[in-house]
Amino acid sequence: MSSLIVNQISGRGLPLIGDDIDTDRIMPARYLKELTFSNLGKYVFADEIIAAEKKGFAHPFVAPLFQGANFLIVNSNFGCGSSREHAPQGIKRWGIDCIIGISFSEIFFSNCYSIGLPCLTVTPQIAEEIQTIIAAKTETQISLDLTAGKLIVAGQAYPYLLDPGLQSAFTTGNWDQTKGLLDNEKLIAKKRQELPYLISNL
Amino acid sequence: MMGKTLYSKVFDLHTVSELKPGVFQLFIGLHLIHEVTTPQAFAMLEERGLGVKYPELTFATIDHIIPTKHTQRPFLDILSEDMASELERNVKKAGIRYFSPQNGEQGIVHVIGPEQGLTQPGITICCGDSHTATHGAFGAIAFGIGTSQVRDVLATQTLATQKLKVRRINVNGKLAPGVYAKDVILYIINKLGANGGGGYAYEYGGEVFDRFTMEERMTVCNMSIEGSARCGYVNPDQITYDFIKGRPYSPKESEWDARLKYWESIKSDPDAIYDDVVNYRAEDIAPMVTWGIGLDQSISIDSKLPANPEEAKMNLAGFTEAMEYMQFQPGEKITGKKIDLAFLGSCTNARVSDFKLVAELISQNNFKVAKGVQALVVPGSQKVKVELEKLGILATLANAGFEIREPGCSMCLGMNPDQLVGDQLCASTSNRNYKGRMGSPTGRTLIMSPAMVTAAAVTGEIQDCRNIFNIKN
Repeated sequence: MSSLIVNQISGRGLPLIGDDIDTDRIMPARYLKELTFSNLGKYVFADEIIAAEKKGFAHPFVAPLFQGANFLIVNSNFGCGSSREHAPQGIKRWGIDCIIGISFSEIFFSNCYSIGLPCLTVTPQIAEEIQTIIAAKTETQISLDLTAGKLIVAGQAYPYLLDPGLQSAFTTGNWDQTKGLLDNEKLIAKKRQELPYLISNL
Repeated sequence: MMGKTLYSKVFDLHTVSELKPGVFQLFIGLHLIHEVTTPQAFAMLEERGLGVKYPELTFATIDHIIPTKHTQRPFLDILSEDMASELERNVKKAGIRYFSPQNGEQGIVHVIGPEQGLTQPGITICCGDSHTATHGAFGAIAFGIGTSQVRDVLATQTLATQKLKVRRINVNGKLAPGVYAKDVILYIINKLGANGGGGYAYEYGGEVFDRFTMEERMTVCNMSIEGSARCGYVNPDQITYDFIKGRPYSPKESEWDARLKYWESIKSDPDAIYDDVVNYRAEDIAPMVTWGIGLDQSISIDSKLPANPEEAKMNLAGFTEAMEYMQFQPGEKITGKKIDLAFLGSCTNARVSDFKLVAELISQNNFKVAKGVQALVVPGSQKVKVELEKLGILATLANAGFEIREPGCSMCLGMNPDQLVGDQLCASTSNRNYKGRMGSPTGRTLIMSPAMVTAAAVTGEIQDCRNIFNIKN
């Protein structure tokens, strides 16, 4: 099966300020009880949204100004904690096509990759600068060209990091890994034979 | 030749191919699954017309959504019942071994792997759960994955992953009485930071780990992810081998010597090269308690809350957010804070030795659960519960006012009926203090050792377990 090419993305940004935003906050556990991912876009940051309302302001994910944004700009250690893929699934289904941040939790990063959602790493200064630019002017245009390696915010280019292997997987539409893994069926069987142990339910 | 780490040896041995530069196809020797992170994976397989490649290498149980009080089927919560039936349907169809409540083998997935003898040194272990690193206590490379990767493992018994760096963490010396494995890992996370382990596997070692029981090693490895290390492990030794022997899935007598040879061969070489090494002194560690909404937001029980962001090694916004959420004041004492609930359980601390300690502590002075406090005892598995019953521990705890429940993840994650209400404060042996973690969007969790939670349960407030139970040198 072929997966979608992820190469050029353009649109607007949504700044989400704060370090160590964990996946329990992104997707509270009570929303993990559905058997499919399809409704998860509705539940992203559900508790944070209510908490913000109580304090008298709108959480960025419900603020009218950021509706329709498709770049999420975060700070460090985003997506830490639970391995729940429900978190990136929800973010993607909400409408985010790309996340830009200082650092990401590894499991979250890998889950994003597995669903075709690129996470770009930038310096703390750049993350904060982009967040400030967008907060000041929400219609700021952002464009990303993964093949060219260009991230442009309000006309200015910013350097980012994305592993070249992952970058090419996105641009060639090969980020869905199952097929590539299945291709090595013979090598898998061989490896299973070679291992010096055997765990088995038989 | 330069020496290699256990991580490197086991990773290389399980590498099927290099898919692209730096991305490896890794064979997974043991796949554990539960009800929450798998239904979508099975559905994706079905959509793609794929089957489960090696069903004999996947083992299932039910833990996250299972109620600990009203356990009869169908569950009162319809969504939970759907999840349970879906898991049962999927494992039956695929021919996957299921440790079920009906068979008396159910439990928290990270408790039953070791209990069944499935968790062994030198194997790769995956589960759609970030606390999979627990199994690293046996010298396995164990890490959590998301649902798409669960799909990949079901379909191919492999997944695509990058190789981690290895940080050796030595804790030498002798822990003072009243200081436990839980305090050691909370101390390490406090020192290295909640995001300090990004890109690393943690190899724990030194005199403290050499002396630790398997259960203590599991408590530490379990929380590696709270320090952002996806994987954490201890090199196997005689203590490991003694634990494994004689369990349902451990190597048979005839295979034992060959397997032992393998286990010994994958230990980190004495001259192994590490990407980083840190050293701590056991004597510097006191009972720890978290005060905030991240696992590095912790203090030793004999110190005060940080007075300012600098002291907490946080930025102002994060510090203010944590203090406000917890309803604490900078610089105040944490001892004396009244608790509403005490939770003894979770994949971090729900094994026989954890509850045995609690029973010993309360027995010495006939302590009772304080008035107004609800104290839950949730064994990690049905087998743990049977053992606790046999040892008379459950009776002791019940007599002291603890509520004994059936096994499951319970309060740890707010997916089953055991949840906080409003802004209740919970002293907990679990692993996460995140906002809303225990099911209430304003609920507050303080993470600590079983002895510290017991001290809180019997006094109704946060107290130093060493004072309450007169634990001395």
